[in-house]
Amino acid sequence: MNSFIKSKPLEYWIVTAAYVLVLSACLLLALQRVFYWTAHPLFVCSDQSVYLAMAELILAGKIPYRDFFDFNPPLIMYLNVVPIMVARLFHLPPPLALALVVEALHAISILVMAALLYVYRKSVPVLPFLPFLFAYAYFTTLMENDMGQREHLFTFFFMPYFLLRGIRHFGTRPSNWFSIPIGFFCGLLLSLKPQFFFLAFCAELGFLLSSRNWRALISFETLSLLVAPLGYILFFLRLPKEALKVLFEQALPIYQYGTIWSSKCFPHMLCSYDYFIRPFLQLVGSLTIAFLILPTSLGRSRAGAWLSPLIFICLGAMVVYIQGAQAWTYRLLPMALFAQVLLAYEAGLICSVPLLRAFQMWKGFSLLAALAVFGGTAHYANLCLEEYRIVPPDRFDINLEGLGYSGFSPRNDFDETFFSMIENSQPDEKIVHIGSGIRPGYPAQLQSGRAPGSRYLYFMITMIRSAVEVNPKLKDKFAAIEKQVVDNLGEDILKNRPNLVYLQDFPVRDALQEHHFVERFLGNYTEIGSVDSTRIYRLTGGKFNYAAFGVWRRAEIAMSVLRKELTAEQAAAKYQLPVEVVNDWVKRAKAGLLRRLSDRSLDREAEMQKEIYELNDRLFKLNLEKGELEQELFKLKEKK
Amino acid sequence: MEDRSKTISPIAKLDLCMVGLILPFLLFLLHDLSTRSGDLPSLLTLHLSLSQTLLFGQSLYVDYFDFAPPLVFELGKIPYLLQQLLGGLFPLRVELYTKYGVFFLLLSSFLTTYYLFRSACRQLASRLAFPLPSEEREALQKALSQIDTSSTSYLIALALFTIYERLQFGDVQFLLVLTLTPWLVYVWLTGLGLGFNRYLSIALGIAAGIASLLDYPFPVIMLFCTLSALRLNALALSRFAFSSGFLSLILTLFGALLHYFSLSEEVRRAFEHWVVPLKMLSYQMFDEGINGWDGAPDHKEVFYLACPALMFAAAAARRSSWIASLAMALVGGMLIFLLEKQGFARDLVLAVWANLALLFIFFSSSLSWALDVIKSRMPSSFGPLIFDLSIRLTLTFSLFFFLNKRFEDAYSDGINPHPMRVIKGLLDINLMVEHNSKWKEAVYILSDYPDPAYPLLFNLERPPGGYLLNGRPARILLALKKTNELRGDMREFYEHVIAQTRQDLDRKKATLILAHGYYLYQFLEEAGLLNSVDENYERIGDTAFLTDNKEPREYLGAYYALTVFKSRAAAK
Repeated sequence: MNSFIKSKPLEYWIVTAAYVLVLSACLLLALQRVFYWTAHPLFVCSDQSVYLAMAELILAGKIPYRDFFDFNPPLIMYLNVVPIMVARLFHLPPPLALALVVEALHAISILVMAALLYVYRKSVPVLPFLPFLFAYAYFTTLMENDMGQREHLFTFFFMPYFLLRGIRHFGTRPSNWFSIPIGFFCGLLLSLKPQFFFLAFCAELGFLLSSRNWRALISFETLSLLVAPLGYILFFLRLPKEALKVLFEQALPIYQYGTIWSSKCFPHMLCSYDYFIRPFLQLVGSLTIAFLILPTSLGRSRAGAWLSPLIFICLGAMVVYIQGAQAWTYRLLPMALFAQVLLAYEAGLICSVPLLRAFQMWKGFSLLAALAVFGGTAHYANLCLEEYRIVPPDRFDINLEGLGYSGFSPRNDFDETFFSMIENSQPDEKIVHIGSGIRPGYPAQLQSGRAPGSRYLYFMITMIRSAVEVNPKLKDKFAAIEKQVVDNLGEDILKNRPNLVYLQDFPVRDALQEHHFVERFLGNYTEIGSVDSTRIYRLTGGKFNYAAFGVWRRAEIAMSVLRKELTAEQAAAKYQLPVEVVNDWVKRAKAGLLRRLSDRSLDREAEMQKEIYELNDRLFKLNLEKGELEQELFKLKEKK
Repeated sequence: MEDRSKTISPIAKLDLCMVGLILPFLLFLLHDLSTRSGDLPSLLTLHLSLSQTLLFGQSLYVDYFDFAPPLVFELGKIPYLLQQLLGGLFPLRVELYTKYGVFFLLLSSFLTTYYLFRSACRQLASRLAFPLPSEEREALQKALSQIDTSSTSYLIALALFTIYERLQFGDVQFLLVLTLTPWLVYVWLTGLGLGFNRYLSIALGIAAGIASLLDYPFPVIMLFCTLSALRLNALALSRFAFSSGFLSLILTLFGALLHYFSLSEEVRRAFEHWVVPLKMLSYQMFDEGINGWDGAPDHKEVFYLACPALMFAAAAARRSSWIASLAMALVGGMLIFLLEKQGFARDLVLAVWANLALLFIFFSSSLSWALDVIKSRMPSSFGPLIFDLSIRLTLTFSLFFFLNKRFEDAYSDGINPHPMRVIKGLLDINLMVEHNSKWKEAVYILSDYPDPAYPLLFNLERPPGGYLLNGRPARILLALKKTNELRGDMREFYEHVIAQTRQDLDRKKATLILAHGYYLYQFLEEAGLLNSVDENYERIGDTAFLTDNKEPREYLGAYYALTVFKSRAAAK
């Protein structure tokens, strides 16, 4: 060991130490975010929650499309099996497991890229890539709603692949230990969406035009890239015929024509909110700097050769986003990331000139700079951790014990539908949510741990109607599809008897009424209330008038069963109630007793919080009115 | 050794292009401009209308509001002054004077660019005949090669751009393009050490200076394009800094500043305290009405084309700073679109030009490369030459006819709209204004964007009937009011708008008032101006700005009708 240390010059150890410090800072920057997710263990967005739910169904032996419906190719559902297994292994809520798996992938991605930069430091311009790495690490720390989206997962192995391809194109032959796994995993994640292959193509084109190294096209990483997609195609062909029938005859046609209902106009996609316009302004900024640098000697240098491929993937990602015609932030995610890393690379490129001179003048400067970077990052990470720890005085947290987990989750992480599900159902009961989109059914249903009561985890009748609007010639075809899916949904409800059915008002209810849905399939359900513009139906065995039984009456009946004076059937017969209603009251009474005896008053707090919000709203409006009256008074006085 | 008889020199190519393509195109365009009417763009006609009022003693921004800087309106006076001066000899409408003026600028742009390339070829050829340091020789050879492959494409791109943006002929971005076309070539070549006719350089510098002041982002775009063309190279920068063009640019900017200070204090104050802050607010605020798939014009194709254009530029910019400057212009065009947040065709004129220029140069370079490959296999044959010419001519003419047809369709739809969606029972706004007002009677069309009002009111010669020629401030002021941030300069401006509007309503300045959409109606209501409207006007119905949201009739938000009020005196 001593001889090894002595065999290397001091400069080597200084540079290595500096590199390790910078890498540690990068990892620290990335991983501090884990604490945020532990403070929000049930926070998940709608798309990701539905993929997690589908992964649970896959683990239960269900087949996509045949046993549960979705528009998307199945890879994402199968990939989400990983966080579900992690959740079960460590008894974590699935959303937290997803966040932790994503953070782990992120850390691995950073480590792989850092390893590539270190091993091939003689052929790669390391200095500009350090800010690049930081920008990449920082990007995921900003993720909330899009954490774990397909575009997000795609970046984890696309970026190392991008780096590897550049190393190959610019004259170095990377080791197969890097090429094969990076190529394979990149190919796997490219298979999530066909448009990701376009981004890989853009990168390849950018490198080719910079390097003119055509031989680099055939390499271990490009060959291993193809393995996963080919395997995926084979898997597709092996899906049962019923599954393929649903996919090709229902899901794809509806998706192809029906997504217009949520489409936004072009300026809205680019400029409407800060989270759209900021990436585009970053893109404009990065292109501006790039076209200033490219014609200069810096642009013509070895480091400058990386600018073209980075520009190519930015532009490719822009086209992919625009082509989607939807103002969804996750679709903008690749472009946002690429623009940021391009900006970071340019900053590194410009700063590398004076920095290299400084390093040459004094060898210890690199270690000093690395220490400063590490210190700065540690300080930033500390600030972030403090922010995660702060609980604002007006924030209410939900105790997760009732859901079978330990800890708390902020109330803001949930929609109102979640609370209604918790209040009106038990953990072993099924729920069906029929809305115009995935939300609020999911994530509420996943967060509450309630299983789906139908093959349709979300419903798509509004998309079918939009599809007909867009293409009236296919009216008959979509009418047939609509009838089939409505009948399927109804049959699922009759067969599985979910305890709760949520039915969104306009436009879903009106569309379903054309099929007499409520009369045909909700005969055993009684409307008990509404939440998030959705009516709630409870399984009561028939139409039942809840209003006829006050709380005390219900308590009396439930207690008679709990005291074993009567069975549920006897109570039902005695009081002329559906037995499902009696069973429901008994369950709720039991759960309520346990909850109340545990010294918790969360519901009351929630009511009080709601009241405070309403009063604040009224106060704001009154203040506005007061302001206007004062202005009028002022004007009148001036006139006099 | 290359057989010169089988190649055409760059100068010969330029001459052929100018004589064989550009000149006929210009003649065609001149004929088209002369025989067609009502085809000027919306904002240009608004600026012309406002400039006319200034000639009659009105105060800019005080008596009428618009976002444009003062220089725009000084230029807008020129057609009227020309009409006054030459009207006896050439009794033409202001519209024609404007068109001929812009045509003159277009012609100048072509001729200047042609001259620059031609002179550069001669200078480069003669310099390369002498011994030079290897780096300089390489740079000059690259430049010559670039001119050889790309100069004609550049000129053709300008011609095609003119047809593509025929409905934006004379708009501020159009004028910027006419200036940038020769300016970027001038800067690039000057940076390489070439020299050009002094008077031409001065004229070009003056044009660049004026063009850069026509809109708020223009100075920044001009600066970055210029820097990009000079490769941030110290030698190139110093060569350019001492050129006639740069010096005249600086003097022009200085002159513009002096002109600005010669404006009355009232106007300057209004510009600095009202117009500029409002414009900056406008850049930050997005109209919530621009939501659904049909809530704004759709010009995705410009961004789709920007992708290959910028990719080509990224690949070529390391060898050519001229290409880098064109790419910078394209990025600048995209920036304007992002700042304006509307999606109108007029926001993308610069981007369209840069797209066409880059794509045409890319096409030309690829074709030249293919030609070299063919020539290497068939050295003694005219085949490659014929192949080259036929491909270029086919593409040029195909695009020309396609774009011209597109323009023809858009123009006829603008004059006589037949949209797919029609608000039943409502007349088009053209007919409503024509039937309910007379020539020279003021009409006030209040809309968040000026397109329903202009060029209609300009074509029908109805003077503006109210303060807000562009109704955008109403939405901004409403938003500030809702969030309790209407104070200071904005409060003052709000009071001024209400006072001016009330005065105009009480005086029954406008024979006809049309109020469009949610914002303007709410603005009138909240300002208590509906009472004045009710007292002096009667509602005579609604009208529609019939459109499929395509040029030249573009709209934002929902497809609202306009409420029409007629002066009670006029109604009798």
